[in-house]
Amino acid sequence: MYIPTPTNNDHLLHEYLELNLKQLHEELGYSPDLISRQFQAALANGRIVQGATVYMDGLSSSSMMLQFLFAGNHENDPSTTSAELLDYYQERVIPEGSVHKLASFDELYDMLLTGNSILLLDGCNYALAVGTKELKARSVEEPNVQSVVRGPREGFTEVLGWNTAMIRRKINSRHLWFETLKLGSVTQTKVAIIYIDNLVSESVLELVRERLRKINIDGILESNYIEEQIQDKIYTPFPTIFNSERPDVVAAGLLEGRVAIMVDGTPFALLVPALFTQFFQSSEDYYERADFSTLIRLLRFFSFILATITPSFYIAITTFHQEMLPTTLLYNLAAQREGVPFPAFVEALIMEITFEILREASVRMPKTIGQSISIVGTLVVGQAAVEAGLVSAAMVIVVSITAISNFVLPAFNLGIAARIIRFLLMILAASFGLYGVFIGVIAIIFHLCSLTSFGVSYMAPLAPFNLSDQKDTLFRVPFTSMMTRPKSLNPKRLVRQKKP
Amino acid sequence: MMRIISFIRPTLVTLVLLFLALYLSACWSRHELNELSIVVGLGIDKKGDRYNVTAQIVNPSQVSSKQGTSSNFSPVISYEATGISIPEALSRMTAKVARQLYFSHLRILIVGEEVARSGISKPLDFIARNRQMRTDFYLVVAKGTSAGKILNMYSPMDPIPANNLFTKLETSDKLWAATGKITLDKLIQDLSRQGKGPALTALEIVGNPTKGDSVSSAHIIDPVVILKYAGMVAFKYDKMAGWLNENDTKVLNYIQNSIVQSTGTLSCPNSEGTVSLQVVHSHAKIHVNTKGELPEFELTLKTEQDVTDISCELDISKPETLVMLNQLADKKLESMLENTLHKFQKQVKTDIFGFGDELHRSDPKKWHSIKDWDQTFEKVKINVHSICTIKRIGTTIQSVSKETKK
Repeated sequence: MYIPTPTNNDHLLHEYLELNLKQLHEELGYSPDLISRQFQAALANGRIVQGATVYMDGLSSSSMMLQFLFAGNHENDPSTTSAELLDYYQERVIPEGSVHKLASFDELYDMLLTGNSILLLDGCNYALAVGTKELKARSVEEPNVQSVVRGPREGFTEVLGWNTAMIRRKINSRHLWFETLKLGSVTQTKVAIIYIDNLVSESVLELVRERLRKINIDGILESNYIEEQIQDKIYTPFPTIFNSERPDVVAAGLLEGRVAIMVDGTPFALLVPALFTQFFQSSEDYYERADFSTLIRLLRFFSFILATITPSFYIAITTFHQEMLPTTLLYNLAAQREGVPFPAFVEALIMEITFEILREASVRMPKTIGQSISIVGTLVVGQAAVEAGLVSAAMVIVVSITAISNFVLPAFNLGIAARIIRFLLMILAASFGLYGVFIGVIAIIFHLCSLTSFGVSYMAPLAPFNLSDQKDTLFRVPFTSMMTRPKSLNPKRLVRQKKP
Repeated sequence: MMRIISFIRPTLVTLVLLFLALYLSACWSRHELNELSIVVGLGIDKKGDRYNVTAQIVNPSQVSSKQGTSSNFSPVISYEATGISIPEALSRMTAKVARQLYFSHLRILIVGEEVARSGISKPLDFIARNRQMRTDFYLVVAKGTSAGKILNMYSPMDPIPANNLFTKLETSDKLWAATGKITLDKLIQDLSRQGKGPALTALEIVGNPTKGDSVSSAHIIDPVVILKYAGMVAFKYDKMAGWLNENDTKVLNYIQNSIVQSTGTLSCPNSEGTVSLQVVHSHAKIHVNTKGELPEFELTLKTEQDVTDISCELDISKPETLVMLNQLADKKLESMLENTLHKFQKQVKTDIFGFGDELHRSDPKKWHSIKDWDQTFEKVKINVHSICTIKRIGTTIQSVSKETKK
């Protein structure tokens, strides 16, 4: 457990209980959730000592501490001074795993505000911190963002300790190492770096430590606060850090030699280094048969392409390259556009923006009505817009297929990238036709190849190409053929399983 | 700071790329679909020494499969304009047409008989040069009428007449040897070759043309007017030299190896009735003998045929009968080939079959020593052989008429 050493003498505890309690209340602003319960204890020599137990309401179990003190059997208590009594309490009375001696107010606040109970005695210039944390937190539930058909149903919670325990339960190895540090000058949030000691790539781990150390922000409320400060490149729509709320995903990442970063207070763990192809992989790929998983994975890549370029392709072809359309389709499209007042680009923009509005609204709405509203909204807006002659029916199809393809992506943050790029490509398509679309696509590929994630090329193992890593990139070969860990992640031990 | 610098460089590169793209861009060619008049059929006629151009344009809302009330507008509209050249006529047409003419989806180009007789290379230049024109449309010659009239005829089944003509030619070319589809690039290729003259399919109006120009004609089961392919037109250089009848067209297709399927009939030996044979595979080979002063040609036609119909009392179960049918088919094909070749050597006096081409390929020296191939073609000797094999006789053995109890 982390214990800061007192540096400032002014903040050492006083010998008098009254003074200590007064300063405590004063410095916490007479907060109503600070509960102090005073009691009296008799020493062996008959002297009565004033004592107090202090805890934060709601963070720790109030009854636990009082039970020790009042229901305990103190008959053979040999102590004659309050310091001895405190030692006696620590050694004999309190049946709790975590008991610490505190000498300064800084330490005291640290313990008190994280849910420990503090035991103070008059005539003693140190205190005891007892681990009586009782967290009011959400229990372990099924993750609702990254859901699977087959696979573990547990997801991370907001409590760091539970989350690390969940990983520990999956990987029962002494090589699973945790490093904790506190980030956020005000919030003092606990952050854990998790890795498997004998697999992890040393250079990545060093980078993680170094970048985390540089963070100097007042508060960390979610893992994205960290993600944005430690990513390799800020100005890119593509995520270079993977996140997951599933312990199995994090465990699988650790087994490949990655480093996980978990933040207290959020169920989303970060996983680095993240590769572009990783965002197309779902944990379910490994829980279903290899052939099926491969096909699904290819479908996801295809959907990503669809989600990115379908509207721009449609705009380019219908406004610049009509000769590319099959003749009969041309008649139909031309008939639908009959009476539509806007150019195809504006038409696409109307529908895309409408869809984005509906989508954002349905995310923010209460869950119970969100889904139905979004479906009804899309149908009504789509159909009514066609009937009102604002957009053509083909455009509604284009927008819908784009939207649905976007939902196929297992990683939400890559979907955001696809949405941003889609609009850029639409502008290019409207002004330059297919020529513009391809210039855009080439620029995106250049950009993707320039990205790195903690020193690892983002497009690996496609660029730079690595043949043995192809087993788990576009395809997912059966486990019997997956003998090594991904080479591009540079793990300490490459061999995953030995040939029988 | 490092991050800002790493951001500036790709941004600059992207901006430069975008600026370069501006210069190369195709923004001027931007047309919304509802700003286009999709031309599906184009007809070229002569009017004095000027060209009369007819364009058949689709009215998409009447054609599309969208259900709902159709307001009985015609699915296509045709416009006419006259000019010294084709582009001039088309430019003049813009005064009549609501939207910009768009040629990429042209299905059929009809050349009037008069234009065909006076030379097709002049009007074709525009067609070949135009950026929008693809080369997948078919060229046909109007027989006994003008191209403009044909484009004014309504077609049953397919609301777009030009489309109807396109698919009609495609299917009949596949199943019946007496038509031939010629695309622009093939025509130009033939025009530029010395040893083979081009040939285009002919198109005629059957029925009463004065009634065929209204949608109401499609309300009658038996169409008032039908546009029908009728043989082909042989060209000498770029000028029309003569008509090919059904047999001539078959021969041309046999020699060009452009037969997918065709049907022929034989009259039964010893009894009344016919035997129909379907050609399922055919391969013609021209062998050139240049030993003499004039080249001699050996034309070998290998065909594979199926019996599809017997309407006489022929015992097909006997092998001798099949041998006999083989011989009859050979004889018939040979006489057909000889007749046509004779006609083109002596009467039409043009080589549309490609004998000259074959000579050029097998003996270039000899070819170059000949000055006027068409004159020489009149005199050369062409021997014809047919090797026919009957492969299948269908799912019954004896003919129904033989089995019928009398």
